Amino acid sequence: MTIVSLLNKETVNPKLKASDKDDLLDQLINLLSKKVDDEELQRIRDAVLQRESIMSTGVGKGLAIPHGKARGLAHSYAAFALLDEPVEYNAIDNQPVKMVFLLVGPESENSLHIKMLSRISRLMNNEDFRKQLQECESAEQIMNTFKVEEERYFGVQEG
Amino acid sequence: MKIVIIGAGEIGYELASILSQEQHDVTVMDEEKDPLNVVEENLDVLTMEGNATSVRDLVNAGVERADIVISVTSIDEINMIASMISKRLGAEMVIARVRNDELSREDAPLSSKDLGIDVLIHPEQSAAQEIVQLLKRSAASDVVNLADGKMQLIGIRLDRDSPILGISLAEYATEHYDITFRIVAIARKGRTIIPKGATKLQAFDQVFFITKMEQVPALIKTTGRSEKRIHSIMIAGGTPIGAMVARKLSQESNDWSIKLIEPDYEKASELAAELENVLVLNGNGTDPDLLATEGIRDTDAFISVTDDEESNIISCLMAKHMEVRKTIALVSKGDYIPLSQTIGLDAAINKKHAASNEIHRYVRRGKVIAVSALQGIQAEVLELEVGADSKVSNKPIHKIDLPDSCVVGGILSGGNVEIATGDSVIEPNDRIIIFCLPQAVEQVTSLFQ
Repeated sequence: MTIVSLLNKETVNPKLKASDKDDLLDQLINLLSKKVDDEELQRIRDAVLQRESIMSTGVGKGLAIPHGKARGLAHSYAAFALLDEPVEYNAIDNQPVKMVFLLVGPESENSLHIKMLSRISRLMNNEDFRKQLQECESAEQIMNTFKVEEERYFGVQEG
Repeated sequence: MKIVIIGAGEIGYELASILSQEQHDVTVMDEEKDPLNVVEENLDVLTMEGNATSVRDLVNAGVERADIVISVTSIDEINMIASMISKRLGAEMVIARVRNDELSREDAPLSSKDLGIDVLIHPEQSAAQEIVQLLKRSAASDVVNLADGKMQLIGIRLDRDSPILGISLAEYATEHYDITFRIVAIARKGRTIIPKGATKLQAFDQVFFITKMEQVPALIKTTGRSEKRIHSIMIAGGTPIGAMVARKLSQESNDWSIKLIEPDYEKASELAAELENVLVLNGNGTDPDLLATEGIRDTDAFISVTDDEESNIISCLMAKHMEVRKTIALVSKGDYIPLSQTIGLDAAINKKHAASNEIHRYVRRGKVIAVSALQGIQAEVLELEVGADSKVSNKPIHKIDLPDSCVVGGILSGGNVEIATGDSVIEPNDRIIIFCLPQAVEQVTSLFQ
């Protein structure tokens, strides 16, 4: 499974306006509302907020990777947003967050979840790539940037 | 071979999966139905519900006629009793997972052999050992000692500005004629390549070298990576692995400065009392504020070995963004996912994997001395002894009809080690180190024996 296969126009927002961390997470999770039913959405919300209370996923350099595993999901879902204005996120380097990647997966698929989380970490660890994403203006552009980088890094075939 | 695995937990499952793929006759026994169902649904093995300390159940599982019995339940005592009974019932070789290291200490009043246990495995200890090795070779993503520590296999990821990009392996070897080494595999975009002399190196390739121990630093230098010594180390998680890493490091003579973070107050106090040269902090290793206050920015290596895999990944990524040079995450996974590449971290340690490597050595015993499956790629490293009447002996390597998917990396003849070239001649009773893709393992083993 690739990261780009988890994203589409509805779950990518190139210009999200959020007032604070709570609002940001709320809106990001709502991007999944067309993919899952209300109950699932609530379980996703609980899981993500619970992870966030264990540790802030503000991993530094303006990036946050909120994530979680929820019961009864059919498969993994992701959302990505660039923020209109940086938001304070209690990140490790105290820098406000400029981009967020949300990953949620079914509780029963731990191995896949860890793999996808690892893959996102790998990609997002590259400074040039983060810069390219930052300059994107549309959802299509963002998805294409992910696609190119993922192929460059992992090859095309990977299942 | 007939193999009985007792305990269908994480490690039991992983072993059953690998051993059954290698066409061994595997039976898995467990007390509980649920884990056995998972085994039955996914693997081609026999399963049996039974109590590991019941002689009758062990007989029913077939331990009397088993070549190998492997006890890997989560409880030491059960593994010990099941092993002792199995040996008495006639099992050829008995392997037990025992976390407590009392039996393996040098001054132990009774050794494991006295109890009829042929081999003790200790996944946590293996993982801890791997972490310590990675800290000592800070430029490498994988480190495997070969030929009793005379040679080393190291994996190195080529940066975009590496001076060896675009040149062929033959040119590379000529340029550095004073170092004897061999590139035995390249992981590129998720694929494993067994290279030839004309293969050219590309940015982001993960290159696996075999060289003599003393030449490793010079070789690393040629890749453009600098092997800076690691001084300060932060370990998140006073788990068995975390504690063992701290213990091993603190017993070495290097003046390492070690911090260990453990959230449980009592456990932290115990560790603080035991580990003299380690600064044990009571706190949450996933708390960014704590990491920042404790100077993660000035740390050379960050090791996250908590029980929470997600946190291990995220906090290592944080450390990476804080410009920590070396980050190592504990991630246990059931399948052969190329970890060190997927993970975005310098290295990932997998304790299940460590256990299956250990057991593999014994399953392929006979003339095979050691086997390590590498995490980054699909290839395996075999160290094997050449049979007295093997067809390949007394011939130069380039005249041997080897499968395409394998490379001879080194030869140990008498006490001497040699990095293999096409002209090297293999003699009977030499030990050779071979790198090959899994599908070629059987063919290679029979060719040399």
